[in-house]
Amino acid sequence: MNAMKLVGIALLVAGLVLLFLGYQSSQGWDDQISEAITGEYTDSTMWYWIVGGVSSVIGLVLLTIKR
Amino acid sequence: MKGRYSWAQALGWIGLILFLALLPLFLAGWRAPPSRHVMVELGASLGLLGLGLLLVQALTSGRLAWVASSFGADNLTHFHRHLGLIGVCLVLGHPLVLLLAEPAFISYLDPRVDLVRALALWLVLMAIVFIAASSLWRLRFGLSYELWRLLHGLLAVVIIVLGTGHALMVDHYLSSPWQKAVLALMAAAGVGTVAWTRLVRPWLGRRRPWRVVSVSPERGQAWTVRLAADGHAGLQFQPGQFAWFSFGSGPMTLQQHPFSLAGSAVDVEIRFTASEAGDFTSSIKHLEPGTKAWLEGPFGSFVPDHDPTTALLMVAGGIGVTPFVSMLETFRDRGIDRRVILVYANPTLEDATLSEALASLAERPGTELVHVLEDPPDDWSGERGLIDESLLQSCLERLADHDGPIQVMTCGPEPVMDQVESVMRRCGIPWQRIFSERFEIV
Ligand SMILES: Cc1cc2nc3c(=O)[nH]c(=O)nc-3n(C[C@H](O)[C@H](O)[C@H](O)COP(=O)(O)OP(=O)(O)OC[C@H]3O[C@@H](n4cnc5c(N)ncnc54)[C@H](O)[C@@H]3O)c2cc1C
Repeated sequence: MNAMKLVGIALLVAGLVLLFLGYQSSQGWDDQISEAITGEYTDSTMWYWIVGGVSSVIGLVLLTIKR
Repeated sequence: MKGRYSWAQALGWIGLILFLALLPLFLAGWRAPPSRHVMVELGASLGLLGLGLLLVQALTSGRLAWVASSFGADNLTHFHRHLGLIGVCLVLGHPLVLLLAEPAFISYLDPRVDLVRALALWLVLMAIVFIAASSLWRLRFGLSYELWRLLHGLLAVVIIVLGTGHALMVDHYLSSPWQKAVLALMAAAGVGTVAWTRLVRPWLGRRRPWRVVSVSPERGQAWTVRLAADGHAGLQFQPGQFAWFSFGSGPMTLQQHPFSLAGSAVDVEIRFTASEAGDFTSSIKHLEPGTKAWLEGPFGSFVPDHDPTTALLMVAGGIGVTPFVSMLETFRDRGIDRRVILVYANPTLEDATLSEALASLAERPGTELVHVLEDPPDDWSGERGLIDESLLQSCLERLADHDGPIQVMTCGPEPVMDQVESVMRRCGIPWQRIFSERFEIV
């Protein structure tokens, strides 16, 4: 099904963009301070990574599975 | 299987599932911070309990053979559905109660405060509503079974990951690293189970291909497909069990359909008989001998009691006869004489799939075949109409002559199975001795 592949590509791209934004955000001053104090990144950064990760994995699954 | 369903086992499973479902709440209650307004605490608890219930859903999906075989695939599907609906209501109650208690919590859902967080939380809420509604009303949504199943699996992962992420990041109750680690591990186990059953296991199955040997027509618009193992030892199963089948170049496909293993458990070849119900089953007749096939299984605990003194009352409607054919053939091939009555309902004798094979199996000592025809020819001397209470009672009376317990097994259309279950309960057959196999999962 082509629609499934298209959705797969869209999710993969969106996921990768979010992961990249997450990476950018983890390099920001607030995250560097937060990481130094608590050992964790800020919530916004974590959300970028979680949503980006889930979206990329689902995109990949849709691209590999057959109808 | 003797004592496959027992109170001890059922309570054991329910205990384990309850424990796992309550685990996020227990974790949060461990050295909990000073309590806030009662409604806020209630709202938070609803979320944690809902999350716990949805996490254990991965265990009860019916695709883990070790859970399904001790619970019964059919019971498990009911359980999965009810538990899921309770989880969905709890999770939806979580923001509602919190917002009623403290409107400032709307910031979690406000994209102006944190765009990605708001997006993620709205996504979870929508995924939860969709997963419940599409499971209750799949056909009204116009979703094919395959698309529904794909979305169900993917959205389950979205809900587990984003829901757990939210619980961990709120950081109110689950603030110490070990609490976070336990919840994260639980979520990872949930996602891992979905990935195992949906991706890894079918992928591993590619090393065990099968080949179509023949496809032959049967009465009642049905086809029997025989399959032979290609370069491996084949499949060990118990009569009454089923497997998931797919055909074509590889096992990673959405078109995977469950069929009861209709042949004798002693045969090296396996076979199933499918009636034309929709797109896939109508295309079975075009399968060419030699086509590659892939199989996941065996599943199910719709299996006759091993104790040969147990008498069996089998009640089949239409294509629901397939597991019983496997049982009777296996008894024949293993030389086991059992007291069996098979009641088989169909519109006409021409619709009675596999009736020729059954006629010869019914010649064995102790075996009785009772055809019930809704629309019989004028000279028909057998049972007429639908399977009713008096017919079932008379079968039970005939089986009562035999010393030993009775096991009732039914497979067929919903109304037949519901009727059999309720008549048997009224006749005092304990639930552990009534086995049902439903062909419609959702
Ligand atoms: C445990 C079990 C054993 C079964 N054994 C047999 C058997 O021996 N012989 C037989 O003829 N049928 C059997 N079925 C039913 C069979 O799996 C469905 O009729 C078949 O999958 C329908 O697919 P379709 O595309 O032809 O029809 P559709 O029109 O797509 O579906 C008809 C109905 O079948 C169910 N269904 C559709 N696709 C699937 C799927 N991939 N997986 C599960 N259910 C699906 C849905 O409830 C759907 O409403 C069994 C089902 C179960 C659950």
